[in-house]
Amino acid sequence: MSDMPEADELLREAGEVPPPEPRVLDGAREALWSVIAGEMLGQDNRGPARRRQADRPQDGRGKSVGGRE
Amino acid sequence: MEPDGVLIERSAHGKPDAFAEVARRHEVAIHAYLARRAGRQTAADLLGEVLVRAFAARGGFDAGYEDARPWLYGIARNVLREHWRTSGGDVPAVPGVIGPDPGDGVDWDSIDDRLDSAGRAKALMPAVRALPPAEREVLLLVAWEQLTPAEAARALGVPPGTARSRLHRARATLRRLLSEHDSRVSG
Repeated sequence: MSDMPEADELLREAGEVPPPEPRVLDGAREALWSVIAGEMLGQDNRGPARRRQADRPQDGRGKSVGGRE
Repeated sequence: MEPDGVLIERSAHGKPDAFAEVARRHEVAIHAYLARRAGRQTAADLLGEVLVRAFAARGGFDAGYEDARPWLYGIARNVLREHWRTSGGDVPAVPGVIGPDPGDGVDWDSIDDRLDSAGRAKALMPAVRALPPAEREVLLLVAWEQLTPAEAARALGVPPGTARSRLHRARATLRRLLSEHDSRVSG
């Protein structure tokens, strides 16, 4: 609000809030890490399945579309 | 320091934990956004939800943007709206001006308590309250969250020109009302 610096300053003053308590940040981080960890675990579990699929002999079986060979 | 966009893109492509750094950078700012509009208790309750929603939505982030704050404020805004919609009587009122306003329910009583009752800030806030919600929202994103008008537009999901014109109108209204207040005091 460069064209009205005083109002800008007054608004900023009105919007000042103290930082959150550490327990608030800890709780939020815990919630986030729980979904991050869930996704990482999912990746780990899908990894072996993908590897098993990759180990299958590539003889063309199972690659048909709609039953056509 | 790597831009937020790089970290978010990495987190969406096999390294989900890269998102934790983005959250760490902006968690205090998101909390402040929430606390200014809904009070510290609600901010404490909703901060984790905002981070979790952002993580879930990270695939839609445009990695070309270095700063994730406008995007995160947009998510925080949606979480707040949902909170007010589902919490029944917990919707903050904008006293005597436009009534309950879930789209921008700033905790005005808390703000008034913090301001010096003799100062011009006290005169400014009724004027801010009286602004149309869409104008007030842009003004406060710029004044409180220190966004540029273009960034505020991203947070709100409106074209940059729309945000700029809303900001212009809000400033003009405040300028006029402050001037009227000064005339009354000096006269």
